[in-house]
Amino acid sequence: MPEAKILIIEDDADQLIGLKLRLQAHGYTVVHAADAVSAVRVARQELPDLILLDIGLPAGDGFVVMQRLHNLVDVAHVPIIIVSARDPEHHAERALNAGAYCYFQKPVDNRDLLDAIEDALGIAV
Amino acid sequence: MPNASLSATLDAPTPRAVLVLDDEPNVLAGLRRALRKEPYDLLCASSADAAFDMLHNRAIDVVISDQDMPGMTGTVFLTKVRQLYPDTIRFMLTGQATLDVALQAINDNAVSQFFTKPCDHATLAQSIRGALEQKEVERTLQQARQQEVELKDRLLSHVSHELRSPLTAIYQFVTLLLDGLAGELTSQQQEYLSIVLRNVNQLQAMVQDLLDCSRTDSGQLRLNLQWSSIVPLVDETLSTLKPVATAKSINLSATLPDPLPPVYVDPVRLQQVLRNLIENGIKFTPPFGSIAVGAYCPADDPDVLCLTVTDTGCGIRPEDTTRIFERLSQATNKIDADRQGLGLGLYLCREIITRHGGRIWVDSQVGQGSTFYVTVPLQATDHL
Repeated sequence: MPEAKILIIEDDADQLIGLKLRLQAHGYTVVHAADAVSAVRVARQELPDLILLDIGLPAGDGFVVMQRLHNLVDVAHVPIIIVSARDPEHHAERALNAGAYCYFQKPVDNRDLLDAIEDALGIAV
Repeated sequence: MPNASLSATLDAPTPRAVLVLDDEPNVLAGLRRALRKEPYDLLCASSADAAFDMLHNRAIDVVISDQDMPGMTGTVFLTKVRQLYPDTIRFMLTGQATLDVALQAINDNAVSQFFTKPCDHATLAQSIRGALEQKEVERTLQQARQQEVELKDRLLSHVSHELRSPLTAIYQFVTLLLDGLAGELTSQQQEYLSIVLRNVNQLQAMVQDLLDCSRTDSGQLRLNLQWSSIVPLVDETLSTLKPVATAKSINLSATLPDPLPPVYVDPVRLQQVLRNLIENGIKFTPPFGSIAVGAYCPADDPDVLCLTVTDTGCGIRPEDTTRIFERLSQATNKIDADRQGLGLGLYLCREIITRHGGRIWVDSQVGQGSTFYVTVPLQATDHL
């Protein structure tokens, strides 16, 4: 799915660049935000096709962000993939119940992530 | 306690309670008088039913019962109390003390102390105090153990979490380089980066082991049981580990009978066990050795399938064949000094397999190699 725009919400600068380069190499346009507040602003401005969301963020965690994104009419339908270092045993179920498309624990295999993104975009389109 | 501060109220333990069961009102009244200054609530019951009501309504620390009562003997009563409230301390206080009654009460573990009427109230009070103190010590110990486990879990889970961020960045950039996204690589650069990646993957597996370990300790290692076929599980594991084995010139192969019955397991966890066993084999097998995965249905147990991982490595000394499945705490002696890894792998294997209702063990000869055996159920075992 070329041309799709992906919003990465990640506060670790190194991981953000790594992920961004990987996604760009696969033809995606990447925008990003590094905290919970700007995440919502950027999402509203950029209207991405898909969002990769970390849970541990400054100014409110990923669950708060998800909640806020779901309240935005223009963004509510955008699939959200959680990519977090946190134990899925404790957080995955909550994330999925809150509407996440899927949950990956870091470090996530490149192929697995790209497959999930394609799947999610296929559904969203 | 109208004057007690909030924190004192929260911290204050429930008052201790001692319950006496006797059908003679005089006995109860006498005890009440004798024990009125003791630092616990004294509850009196004149029938077993009333006593059970009290036990049901509040925590009771010590139960003292008469033997001869209408309806139910003291031995029967205290045996029931032991079954329903195993934490209670149970005394018998009786005027009809025969050796038979006393022996049976003690042998059934129904009572810890036996008093004959008329009994010296001071002695009885002393015994109750002693029992309560012992209980308090046990409770404190239990709490300390619990806190230790929780603290360790939190630490492990925190460490595992914190290691993941740098690990993620390393993985991302190594794979970016390896995939040529930062320019073409010489074959040497490619080779070196593959080594980095292999080690990143090992590190990641260790981080995962740490997390799993904290889960097993707190009982949170959940199994996602389903009917699974062994062949793809083994094939997939082998294809992941082939490069590691090949890098060490070790021949890794599987010979599985066809057909094999489906097994009732958590496929991800079973793969983790297989991967661990094979990785261990690779670690301890010298170059040009071999590792073979096999499976068979044991003749003496039709309910399980047995998987085997055989290596031609250095072998394990007989005295260590049990110890290697213990946690790292025991693995600090000399023999392990040159061992790589966290020493959690086999412990986790054992935990995972045990939770499946299976068994894991090893047969080994020093200098010849080892065979690890793992049994997994052929029956649905959700009840475990």
